[in-house]
Amino acid sequence: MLVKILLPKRANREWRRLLSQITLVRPMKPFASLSLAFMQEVSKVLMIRERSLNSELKKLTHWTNKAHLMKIYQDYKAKRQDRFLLPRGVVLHFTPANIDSLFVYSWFMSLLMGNSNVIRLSRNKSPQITLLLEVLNNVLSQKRFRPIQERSLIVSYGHQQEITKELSQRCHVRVIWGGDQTIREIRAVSLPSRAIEIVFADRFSIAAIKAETVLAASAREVNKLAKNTYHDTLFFTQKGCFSPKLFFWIGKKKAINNAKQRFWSAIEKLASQEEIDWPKGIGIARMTTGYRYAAEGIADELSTVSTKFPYRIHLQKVKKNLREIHSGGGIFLEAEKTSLMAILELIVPKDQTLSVYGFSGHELKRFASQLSGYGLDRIVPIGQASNFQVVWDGYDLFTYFTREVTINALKER
Amino acid sequence: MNIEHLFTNHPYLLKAEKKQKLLANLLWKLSLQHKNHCPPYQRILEALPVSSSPTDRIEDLPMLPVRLFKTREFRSVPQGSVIRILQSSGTASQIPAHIYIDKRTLELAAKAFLSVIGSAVEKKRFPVILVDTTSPIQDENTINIRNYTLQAWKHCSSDFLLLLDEAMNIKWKELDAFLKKTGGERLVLFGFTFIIWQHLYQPLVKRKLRLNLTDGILFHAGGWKKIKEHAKDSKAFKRNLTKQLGLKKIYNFYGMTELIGIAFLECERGHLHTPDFADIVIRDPDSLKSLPKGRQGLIQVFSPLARSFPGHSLLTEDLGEVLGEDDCPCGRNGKYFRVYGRMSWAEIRGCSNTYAYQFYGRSNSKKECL
Repeated sequence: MLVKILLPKRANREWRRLLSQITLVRPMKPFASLSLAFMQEVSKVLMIRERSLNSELKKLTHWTNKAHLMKIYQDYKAKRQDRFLLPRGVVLHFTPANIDSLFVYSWFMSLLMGNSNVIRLSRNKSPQITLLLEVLNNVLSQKRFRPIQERSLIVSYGHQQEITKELSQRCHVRVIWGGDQTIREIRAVSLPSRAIEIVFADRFSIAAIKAETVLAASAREVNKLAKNTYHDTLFFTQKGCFSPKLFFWIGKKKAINNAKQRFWSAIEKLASQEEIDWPKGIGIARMTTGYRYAAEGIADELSTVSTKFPYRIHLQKVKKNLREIHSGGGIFLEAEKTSLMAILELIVPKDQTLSVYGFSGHELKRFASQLSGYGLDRIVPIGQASNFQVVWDGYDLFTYFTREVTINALKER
Repeated sequence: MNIEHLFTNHPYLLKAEKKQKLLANLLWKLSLQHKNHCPPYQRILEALPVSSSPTDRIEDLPMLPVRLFKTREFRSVPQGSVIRILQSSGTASQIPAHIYIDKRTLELAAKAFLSVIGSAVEKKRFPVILVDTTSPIQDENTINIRNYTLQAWKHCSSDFLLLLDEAMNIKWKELDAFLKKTGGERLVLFGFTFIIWQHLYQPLVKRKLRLNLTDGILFHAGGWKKIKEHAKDSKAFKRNLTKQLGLKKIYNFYGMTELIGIAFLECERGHLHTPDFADIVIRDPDSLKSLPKGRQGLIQVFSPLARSFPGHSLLTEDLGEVLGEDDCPCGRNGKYFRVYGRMSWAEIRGCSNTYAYQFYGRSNSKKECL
């Protein structure tokens, strides 16, 4: 049973001892100044290495900087008012392999609420994760951050349910960042009776673009839209649950055709400029997926005989099961509707993010007001789908990472 | 031109230009036939932005990635005409492919197979020792590729012996009797590579027994991965088997479930050969452009035998390389090539594992998120 300790980097410590220590030491306070200082320091150190950061890590740098932390602190205080919110204790996180920075968000969100944290990382480490661990370990080794170091543990291990069991027995909150299969596996391991669990299951995301707005936009704006789309989809090879895979074009037929032209030309131009690091065998994957959609009668037009990116699949019918067939990797499903409201009935609970372009606030509010009974947890502008938010997948994480103590005896003399 | 004319005693006569024209023509007609009788195939062709047209080059024909047969039914004949559903081998949780076979396809496959094997054995009927065991028949209509292959061999034989019992042990008495019975005749042995190594070679070595099958020929298929550690390489495999069995000829062949009836036999020079009625093209794994000889890429296979399912032009996931055409020192015409094994997929990362799951099932994929 090999458990590798990734953080804190201290010699000669057995993971079980570190785990014991974490469960015994008292948690910190919500928004403790030391926690804030720690995160700001991480932000600073990351900024120094700005040149070696990709845009995902740059976003993390901004999320952890003083200005942003102060902003979410203000939001938190407004929500909290004069209630007594305390940490739950030890939070155990299982983070996915596809989004490098996610373990930091999960950890920090929980730490801001005062919790101590144990994180299990995938054994497959990307260069970005290695960089992050290096920075985190460096900052944590500073003497002043000792209290945080004593309340943090990052490990990685193979498929050993026994270890998951040991970790789960010591936690107060278990967070599982997807997918459905992982959730099933980990749920088989029981939790202490008072512990709670947060799960992020398989999700699907879509986009809606208003044709009229694309047509009226300047070339610069269209290029920006392309760049934003690129960021939210291709950057993660479309594997993020927030990455739009199905694009709804809204408007009249002619406008849509012209808008598509402008949009896809801009994407193609961008693709030729950027060096996309596709996984091996992406060609066959795209082709098989496209052919499958066609064979099932879901798609009536494929953009290429071969595998050329962007791989566009035109939908004849927007069938519910098309979500399970999509394999990511630069495949764009497209459908047309005359109004935004028309896509409501096509939305299922599995749908998470709707990325939009070209709609007025009024149109979006009207749309959102009708969402009850359908899916979607968030509506964002295209380009911000990957922005991590405190409220994710419908969970207000600050609330879940907190326990509230109510005192009704205050007025007594 | 009837395809059966190509099932000769020595199906390696056609040279490039003639072969291309002939096959392209046959395969084009077959594409149309499948288009008209297999609705999902038709839907795929109609969704493509460029429609295909009659051509003299096989590489211009539309192709299907083999994975598609794992996702749904592709059948070009009425349900009632299907006499067999061939199931590709798969590990416990891997989704198998299903190939729908009718009488005509089965017939052609048997004849094609006999043509290739017969050309190597130089006889049309011969006694065969099958180095395998019977496996319980699960379903009357569904048959897995292992059993199907054994059946194909039985069909070529004048007499056969199933060498192993249910526990995969050699039936020594039966072997003895069979050798006596067929004494003098040229004997053929067939088995899957790892089974031959594990359950024929090893037991002989253990018993310190050597057979003297001087006029015998051993055919094996199934890849080297499983025995790589033990046999070290194909040369060592051949050497050791020759020593233990007294054989003069050992032939490896490459085939697949979706390409029933087609065996790409390895020649005396160690090259795999395309027979007159089949061909291959190598493609770049990402752009899928066809590659010239000497370049490694995905193997696309062509077979005019696939009548009941659209398996006449398939993109496999095996990596290979064309070594030459019409000029192999062994004297056979046609393309000759090498297979390097399955393409390995890059790490599949994702919150949801639908990508890997739909292709690999659970056991082969990198476990999602962990």
